[in-house]
Amino acid sequence: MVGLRETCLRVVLSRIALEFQRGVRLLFSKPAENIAFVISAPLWLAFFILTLRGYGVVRLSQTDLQLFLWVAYAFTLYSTWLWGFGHGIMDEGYDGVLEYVLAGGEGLLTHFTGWGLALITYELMDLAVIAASFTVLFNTPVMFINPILFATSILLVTLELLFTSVIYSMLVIRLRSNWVVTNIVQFILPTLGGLIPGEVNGYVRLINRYSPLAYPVVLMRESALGINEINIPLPMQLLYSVVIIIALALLAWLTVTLTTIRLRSSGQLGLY
Amino acid sequence: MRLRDWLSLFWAIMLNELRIIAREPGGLVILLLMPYLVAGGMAFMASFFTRVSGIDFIREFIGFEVVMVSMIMVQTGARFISEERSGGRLEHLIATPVSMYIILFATSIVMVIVNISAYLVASLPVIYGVFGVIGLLRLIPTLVIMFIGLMPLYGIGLALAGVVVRLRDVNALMNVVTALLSVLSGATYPIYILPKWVDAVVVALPMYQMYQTALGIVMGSGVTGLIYGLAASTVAYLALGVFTYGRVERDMLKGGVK
Repeated sequence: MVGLRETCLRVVLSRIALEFQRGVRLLFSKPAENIAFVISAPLWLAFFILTLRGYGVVRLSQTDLQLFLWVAYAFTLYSTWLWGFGHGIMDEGYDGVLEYVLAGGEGLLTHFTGWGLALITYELMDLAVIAASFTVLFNTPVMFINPILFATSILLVTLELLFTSVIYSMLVIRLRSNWVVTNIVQFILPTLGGLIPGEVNGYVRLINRYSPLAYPVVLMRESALGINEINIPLPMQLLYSVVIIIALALLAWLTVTLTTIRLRSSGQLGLY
Repeated sequence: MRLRDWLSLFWAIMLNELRIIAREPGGLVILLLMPYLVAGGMAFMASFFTRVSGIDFIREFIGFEVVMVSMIMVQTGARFISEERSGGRLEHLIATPVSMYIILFATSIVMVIVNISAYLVASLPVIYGVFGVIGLLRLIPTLVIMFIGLMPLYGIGLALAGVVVRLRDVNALMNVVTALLSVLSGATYPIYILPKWVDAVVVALPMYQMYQTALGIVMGSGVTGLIYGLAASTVAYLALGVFTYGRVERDMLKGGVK
């Protein structure tokens, strides 16, 4: 029995690893897009900082800048994951990849998990580019007060975004439109997901304290800046983050299973 | 071909383009919501550092509108050419007796109409909320300014189309162009904070001229000399676009679509 379980686990892990490899190859198959990203990220950053100046914000303190950096990174993460999955699933639908995945008996969750894990490479590139842009534009070195907790929080944020994006992809399949949904979701989700630092406003702190989606992102900021933003002990924040990730994983599994059954029974293997 | 035939052809292309746009009504909704989401989001962020007044919001809102419609317009020509090439239709289009300029102009006019309509509908509540009925009346001449202002941007887009047909990865180029032009728009921040040479580039681009002229009208402070700059830009950038695209089309007619 134990041997059978180990074999099954090995099969699942090797399938995820294959999907991961495929995802990484796909992401780096267009080097021009990666170069464009590296060039455009600091430009967008400059645009939004200049816009703050347009609203009359004349001076930003070092702390404000550090907080702004993590806001920018969290927003990029949400955009990268949502756009990555939204566009990815539509492209796979158009190219017929999804049809092969479904018809070949491969689980959609395995497929998405591998593809999502490949996005980690993008996530780390985002971090490097944004941190470098801040250092160059504002002459401000990026703070990492608690690197171990920071690395843990990045892992937690990744898993949270992975399962959220899988659920979101099922919504895209249902509505057959990615960019409209993404445009709206990418503004709503970050607000509930800890994008805005609690330091700026009491109401925001309340959202970050009570929104279950916020803990991993808040933890990322806290570990980098060495603060406790929502006045909850760090071990408890870690525990809450793990609980919400498990809940999201179960919800992702449920939505994927239901979507697969619907697609197979209606004969819409390739979305179209 | 008689004028009536030309007009009928023009109308048919426009109608076709309109049908393509109408396939995604959600996209039109986003056009209306986006300035609120971005200008509102930035106002929310700024409100933690300073007091944001209604006038500040109007200024930024119009600025974001100008940036948004400008970026759509810059991408229109290049994306059209790129999509037609990917779909294998570009060669057929070039081979037909109908001039590509007619096709490009008709499709761009539809995009201009959609953009201006979105600008009008999205701006109505904000302008009315701050200036009342007089604000709505001032909004009318800004529609003409937006129409004129989008023409040079289409010219820039046509010039980009020349680059696009030589590239495989259009998205990469467009991502950089969009980010660069957004920063150089000068529509969401005071340009005096920029280095002098960047300041000069911003003033020479149509986004800043369009924004300042439209803003002056909405605020009731009248138009500045930038309106002449806008007229000159319209001629210059459209000519640049037509010239660049013309060269590219000649190359394609000789050597085929690569």
